[in-house]
This record gives sequence, structure tokens and C-alpha cells, in this order.
Amino acid sequence: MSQDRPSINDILLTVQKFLDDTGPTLSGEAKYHAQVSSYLLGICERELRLAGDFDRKEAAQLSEFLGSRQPLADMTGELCENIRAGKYDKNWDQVLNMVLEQTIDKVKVVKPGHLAPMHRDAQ
Amino acid sequence: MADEVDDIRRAVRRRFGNDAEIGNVVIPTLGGVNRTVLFDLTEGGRTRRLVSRQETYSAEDNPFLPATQQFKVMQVAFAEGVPVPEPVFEYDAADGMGNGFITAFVAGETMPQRIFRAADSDARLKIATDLAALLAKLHAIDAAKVPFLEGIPDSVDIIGNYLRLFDSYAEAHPAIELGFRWLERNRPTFGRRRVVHGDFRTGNFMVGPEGVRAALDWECAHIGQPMEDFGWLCVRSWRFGQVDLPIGGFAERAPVYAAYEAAGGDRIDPDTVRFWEIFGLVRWAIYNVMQAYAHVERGRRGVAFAAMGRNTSLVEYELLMTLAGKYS
Repeated sequence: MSQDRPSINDILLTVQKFLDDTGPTLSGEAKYHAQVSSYLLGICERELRLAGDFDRKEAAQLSEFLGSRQPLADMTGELCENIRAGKYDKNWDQVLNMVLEQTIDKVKVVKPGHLAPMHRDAQ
Repeated sequence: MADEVDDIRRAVRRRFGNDAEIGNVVIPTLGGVNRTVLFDLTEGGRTRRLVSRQETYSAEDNPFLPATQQFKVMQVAFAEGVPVPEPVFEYDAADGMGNGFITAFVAGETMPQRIFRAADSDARLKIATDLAALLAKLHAIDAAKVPFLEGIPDSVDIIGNYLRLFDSYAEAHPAIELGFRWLERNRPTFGRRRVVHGDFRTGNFMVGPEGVRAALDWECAHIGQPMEDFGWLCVRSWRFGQVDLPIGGFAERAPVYAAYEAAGGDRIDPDTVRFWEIFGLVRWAIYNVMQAYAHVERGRRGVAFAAMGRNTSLVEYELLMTLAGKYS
């Protein structure tokens, strides 16, 4: 389907701007919920832009680490089971760094400003 | 004359007589699961400002202490000199208002950013050392005075309890698994069990210009390791942006540990606090997972709960950076 302008990212940013303009005129809980809603739309916009690359990178990394090729969710589940079973106690730092790297990508979608300067993308 | 606080008036008159009057009613919109009402009570020739709290939501998986137990813990803490809003009375069956209680109202500020803005560095250190003294007093309470706390899951095995909760939400989180594994492998020798507050963090105490006035929010109280309270207080999320001041965004660790010991607390081992801080990060991450679970699976929907689900990754990041020794 070739869709007409605007793009989905454009729509999200447009609705987000509406919420940002309108929110301050509200009060109490509604004002807070407008802020949170804008925050959620920001997450959607970044996820649409970034998730494809992040998922491919994560799947390749896990596939190489686990030595198997499965859907991403299954590999994440296997990683979790292995951590709990103590299978990575000997290569703890390697696993910690890998999970940190994947978590940094999650944060880049959710709230990039939350990252320490060393993990932020160059602007 | 019936109004929105008619039930509270009746409950008050059952205890203080028919001349008791309530006025200056304020009903804050906290968006919580409790009904909270502030009012002045005039009886016997004096007027006091009080707070009524009632549970309006109770679910089987509600992890919080029932109101009646919260009230009893606050009574014991108050009697032992811990700064806590004075417990006045608990609602009973004849009130027909469900579970809840009335305490004194303590004026002051709870909002972290407002406290930070109003306090210079001396005032912040005073707040932090007040917190240490408060904890020393709380941890000195004989646990036998609150025997009903022994049976709750957080008292039996708080780490195991959170692992069980985490598993019940059935979502894969490698970062949280790493946290649990680290806790498993780095468990310090546990000392004597004490009464702990369980939710002792910036935002949950009332502060005035002179220092800390009261510890609030006792619904996570249990029997456990006293350093759990310090670990939770130091969790990065509760520093509210003042990340270089680990004690709740108020102060560095050393002077506050010294204040705890000076107030009669046991000697503090920084590694034990770090252990409980790691647990605090795990616990806070799971709390966010739980909100998303309730939003998606249990019909308790809302934008704030949706956002908390996604904010899990922010806590996971702090957990991993702490485990990696890059955050302290």
C-alpha cells in the first residue's frame, strides 16, 4: 500500500505538538496525562524509526552468542534462562556488556536523554 | 446536613461526641487508589487538622500492607518516638467505610524538586542526617511489638518474593535476570532482622525548613534487614536528578552513615548498602513491569501505567550501569 502524505512519523509528531500546546492550558491530572501522552507518542515515533535496525542488530548478536538462530523473542528467553541457571557466571562481564548494549538501544527509543553522555548518539 | 464527608463526620462523632465538628475540608486529587480527605476536627474546645485515608481498591494481588496493619505499625512507631503522623483512630465495621484510618496532618513539603529548591547544601545535609536518625530509631524497635508483620511475604524472603512477582508477569528481561543473579552471588551475611519502613525514599517524607517532620507511606513496612531502607533511599531514581548525592539526592553517603551510627544504629557496611541498592533497582524495575502488566492484562488501563511499562528500560539501564561500576 502506498499511503499518501503525511507519513506516520509526521502524524505522530503533529499530534504530539498538539498535546504539547494544549497540555499547559489544562490543570491537575489532565495536564499530567497530556504530558505523559506526548511522551508516549515520542516513544512511538522513535520506535518506528529505530526498531528495525535495533532488532536486526540484537538478533544477530544473540544468534552469534547463543550459537543458534531462532526468533528474537525465543533467543531472549533462552538468554534469560541461562542467566538464571548461572551459565554465564564465568563470562559475566561479556554478558553484562551485551545486555547493557541492548538496554541502551531500548533507552534510545524510550528516553534518549536518560543515557549517560558516553552512550548518547552524537548530535 | 448530608455532604461528601458525611460518613467521616459520623465516624468522628461516634468517637468524640455529637458536638464534634469538621470543617475546612480538602480532597486532594492524588490519582491513587485511596480516598484521602483533609479536614479540621473541632472537639472538646480544640481544633486539629487531620487526614482520613480509606482503601477504595483491594485486589488479591495487592502487595501492600492492609490499612489496619499500617495503622498499628504507625502507632508503634509513634509511641517509640519515630517522627510519623500521630495515629488518631481506625475505622471499624460500624463505620461502614471499609478499611482506613485517621491521622494527624503534618504540614510541609514532600515534592522532591520543591524540597531541593528550598534547601541550601547545609539544609540538605540536615535533612539527610535527620533521615539517618529516623531510621536508627525505627530500626531499634523491638520487632516483637509488630508480630503481625512476620507473616507477610516481604518479611519471609523479600528477594524471593520479588522473583515470584516478576515471574508472574511472564515477560523476558535479561537485565532483571542479571540483577537477580548478582544478588544470588553477592549476598552479604545477614544480621538481626528489624522493623523496616520498606518505602523510605525522597517523596515519602514530610520536610520543613528545620528538617524532616514525618515518615509517610507505611504500606510496605515489614521485618527485614535494616540496610534495605538505606539501599532503597539511595536508588538512583529517588535522587530525582541530583545523581551525585546518593542519599536521596540530599547528601553524600559518609556523613549520613556516620549520623546513623551516632544515633544508635549498627555500624554500616557500604557493601551491604550497595547490595540492597542493587535489590532496590531490581525491585523498582519489577514495579514498572507490574504496572504495564496490569495495563495490558488486567484492564487497569491508563497513560501513566503505559509509560511506566516502557520506563522499565530506564531503570534497567541504571541497574546495569551500577552493576558495571559506572554508576555509584
